[in-house]
Amino acid sequence: MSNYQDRRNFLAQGVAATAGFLAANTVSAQEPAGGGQSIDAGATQVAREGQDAFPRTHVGVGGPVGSPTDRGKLVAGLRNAGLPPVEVTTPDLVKLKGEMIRGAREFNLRATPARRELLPGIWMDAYGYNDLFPGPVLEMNQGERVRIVFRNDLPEETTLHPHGLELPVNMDGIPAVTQDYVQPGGTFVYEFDVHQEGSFFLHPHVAMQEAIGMVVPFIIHPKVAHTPIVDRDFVLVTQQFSILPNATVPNSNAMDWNFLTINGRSGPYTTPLVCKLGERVRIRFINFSTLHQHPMHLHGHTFWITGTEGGRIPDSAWIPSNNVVVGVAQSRDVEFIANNPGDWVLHCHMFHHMMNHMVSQVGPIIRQQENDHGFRVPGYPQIMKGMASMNMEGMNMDGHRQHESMPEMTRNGTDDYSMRMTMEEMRKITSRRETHGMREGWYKGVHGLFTVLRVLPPDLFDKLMNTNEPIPPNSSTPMNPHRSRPHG
Amino acid sequence: MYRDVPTIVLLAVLVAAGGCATDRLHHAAGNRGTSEAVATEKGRITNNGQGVDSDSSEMRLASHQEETSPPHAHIELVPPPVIAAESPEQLTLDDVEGMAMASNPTLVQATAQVRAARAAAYQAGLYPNPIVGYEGEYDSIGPGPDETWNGGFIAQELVTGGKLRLSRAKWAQRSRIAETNLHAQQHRVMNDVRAQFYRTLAAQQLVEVSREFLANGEDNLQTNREMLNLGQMNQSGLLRAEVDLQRDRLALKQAEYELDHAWRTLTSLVGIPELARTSLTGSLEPHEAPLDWDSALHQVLSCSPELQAAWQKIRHDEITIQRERAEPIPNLIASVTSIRSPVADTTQTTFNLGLRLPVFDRNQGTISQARADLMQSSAEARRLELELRTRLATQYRIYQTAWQKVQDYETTMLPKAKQSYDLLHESYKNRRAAWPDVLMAQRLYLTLKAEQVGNLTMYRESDVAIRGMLLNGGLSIPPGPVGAGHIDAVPKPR
Ligand SMILES: [Cu+2]
Repeated sequence: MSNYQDRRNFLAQGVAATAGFLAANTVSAQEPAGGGQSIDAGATQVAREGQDAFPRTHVGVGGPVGSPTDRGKLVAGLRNAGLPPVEVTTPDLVKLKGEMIRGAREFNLRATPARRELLPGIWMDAYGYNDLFPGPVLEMNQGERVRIVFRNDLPEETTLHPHGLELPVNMDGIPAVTQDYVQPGGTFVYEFDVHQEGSFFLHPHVAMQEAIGMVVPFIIHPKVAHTPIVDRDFVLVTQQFSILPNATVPNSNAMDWNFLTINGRSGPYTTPLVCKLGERVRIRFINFSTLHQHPMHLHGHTFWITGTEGGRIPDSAWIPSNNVVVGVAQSRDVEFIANNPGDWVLHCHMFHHMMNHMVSQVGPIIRQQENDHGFRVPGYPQIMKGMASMNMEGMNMDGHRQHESMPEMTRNGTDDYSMRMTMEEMRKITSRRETHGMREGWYKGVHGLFTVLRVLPPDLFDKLMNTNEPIPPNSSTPMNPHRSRPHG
Repeated sequence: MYRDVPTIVLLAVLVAAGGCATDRLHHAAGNRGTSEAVATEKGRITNNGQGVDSDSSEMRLASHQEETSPPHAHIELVPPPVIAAESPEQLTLDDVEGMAMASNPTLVQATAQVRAARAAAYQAGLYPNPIVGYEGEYDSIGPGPDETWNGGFIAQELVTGGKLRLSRAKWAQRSRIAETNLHAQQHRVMNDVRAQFYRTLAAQQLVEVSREFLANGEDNLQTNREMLNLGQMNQSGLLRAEVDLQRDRLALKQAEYELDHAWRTLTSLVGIPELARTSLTGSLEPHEAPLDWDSALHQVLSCSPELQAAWQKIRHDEITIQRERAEPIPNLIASVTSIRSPVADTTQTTFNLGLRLPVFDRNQGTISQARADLMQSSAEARRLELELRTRLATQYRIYQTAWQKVQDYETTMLPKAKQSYDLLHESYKNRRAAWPDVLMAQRLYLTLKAEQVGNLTMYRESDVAIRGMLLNGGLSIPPGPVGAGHIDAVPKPR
């Protein structure tokens, strides 16, 4: 449901327009003074030096360990310095900026039931906000007053807790301790000043309502954009659910989970993060899972961990990594220079989280081959069988050479137990603009808490995101395995 | 009934004509025409079977003046056909019904009883024979010459009081009872054959279901082997799967033995034990409207051959009393003797007419005994009514339960179990459900299928029993027209 058309139109209007909303409503838009100035100057210098020290369009080392360009640590993005912070990008999520009313940025939030298509054809009946699961992302600026007009449209009591915010105790939203429950049909106005910055979230302080999915990402931009400047700022919320087959309601009692989501979708239905080669990218991970940490692993790049749920970390304490563990109800911001072109997977590295509705595959699925000698090997088979023989009902929607380029898809196409995907389901996955030009059949390798970061050369990026021109498959990652480089 | 409309029409006609729906019997042979003679015989018996009070017309047969043949003396039984050689591919209920009507020996026995009773009735009305003889007299008179008379005599007993007519009426009534009993025996055979046909059909279906169970168990073992290879199962669990599979194998064997047994029983009831084994085709599912208690009771009380026989027995005992009352009316014994003496050239003719004076023996004891028999048979009819009512109550309880189960399984439980299985199966294909769960869901569905076969068998057995007026015993000796100990121990039936 990412509206790439809108985004492309939006992007087409230029960066100045992008900054408009922030400039209009914040004091942070003005030139930072004092220390801020010197930091900016330093960053600019790093950026300039980085041109030489850290390769922006291919992999390579920067300066020596501890230097500003070490693994791209303080290498700025491509935007001009001094601009307001870039807006967050929230794949598959609705974003609200609120409205300035009587001196406060006002948001309307309703606690509601919400349906969500986690994967094509697989729906979940959860609780959410404004009929959305997960709730909309609220975006604001440090130093503003925020007013949340909250209405409870659930058939049961709830509250809204602004997690991690330093606010008056009567705004903390804790049933009994700080306020009465908001009854069904009732309203409560949460209003407070935000003097912090960082990746926060709101949730009901009712355990099982949290478990059934209720969360609202709450992003506070700093008054002055952090340096080094980032070009893109993604928000990814991770969650986990247990849904039985032939059921739609997640079991909030469960201690084991079979659906892992990023922004309310499971791979390959997660919409890829698209960026331009050489950009500095920030990803904000928020983990609102029931019981599990997620070691979020990015391929092909080394990022710096620059923030937590407590806000920005001083750069002296940043940690380089490619795998950041995000605990339950924690957030982690990471930043890196996207200098390695291609489609890079970004996923939780807990193996059971790299699958959808994990289930034992014993039975006819693994008996499709006669006299399968594999069974002589203890442990066989570990690969999910029948995926390779995924049977797409009908033709490839784009009219690509399905039989030529994906022979495995039709090899066992008539088999009763091969994976089946309808044209409609296929369309939902491959029609999204953000996926165009990816390697054919890419979705067969993307499951569970899993998405893709696409690092595209500027011309391909512009063509993809700012035009409607068709992009042939295999444009961003070569199809020929001999020419593609092994990574991982 | 559901199988062909003509039967329904036939039934309607017969109900209209006779008032009793006892002719489901006719359906088999009547429609198939395998045995015209038997079919014809049945039709006649049914009609006469109704007529408890129809003996006024039959009375004429008792008249000794009329040398008419006994009623229905022309029964021809068709010899059992040899069917074994050309057994059809699949047997229908019609087929086995036709075979049973032609080949079950108890029908021959029951028919023989009808013949015997009719013959006895004929015999009972025959007039006593005259007596002829030589008469001689030798006279020795004083000194004169001796004188010899020679001649002959003829004597005839003249039967009075309508004894012969009554005897023949009484025995004709017995033949009527025998006819009713033949009718009952046809029901007994048909009911047993029908119930056994359905039991055999059910046994066939249970073999099929058992094979599905076995396939499920084999798949389960293979699945457990696969799970073992994947660390999702251990040796202990694998052994349990092997035990479970063996249980399925045994269950299939048992089902096959049950089918053997059912088939052997069926061919015995049909009267063709050498009938080559073949499969039955038919439906256990109900196609008839459900029975209700009142009409079932009404049908049994108004049409049960057992009850009809009991009513006919009352009539029989009434005639017996009349007959025994007639007994003390003395028969006249008339004789003419004629002798001649050549010496005297004289012929002497003597007429005698005598009778036995009912002075001491007026047959009081036997009359009293006959009255007691009537008392007994009147009470017997009432007793039988009540007994039939309790037998019907038992069958009806089984019927109601079975009907309810059959309906609920058919309309609700089986479709839901099937849907549950299908949904899980589909989920498995979508990689969302585990195969062992699919197998378990299938097993539940198969269990319900097997239970439904049991329900249908119960339904069919009770339906056959109730519609067949609770008669069974298709291989038991048909009962005689009257019970033992009756006044039969005389040289000439009376
Ligand atoms: Cu994880």
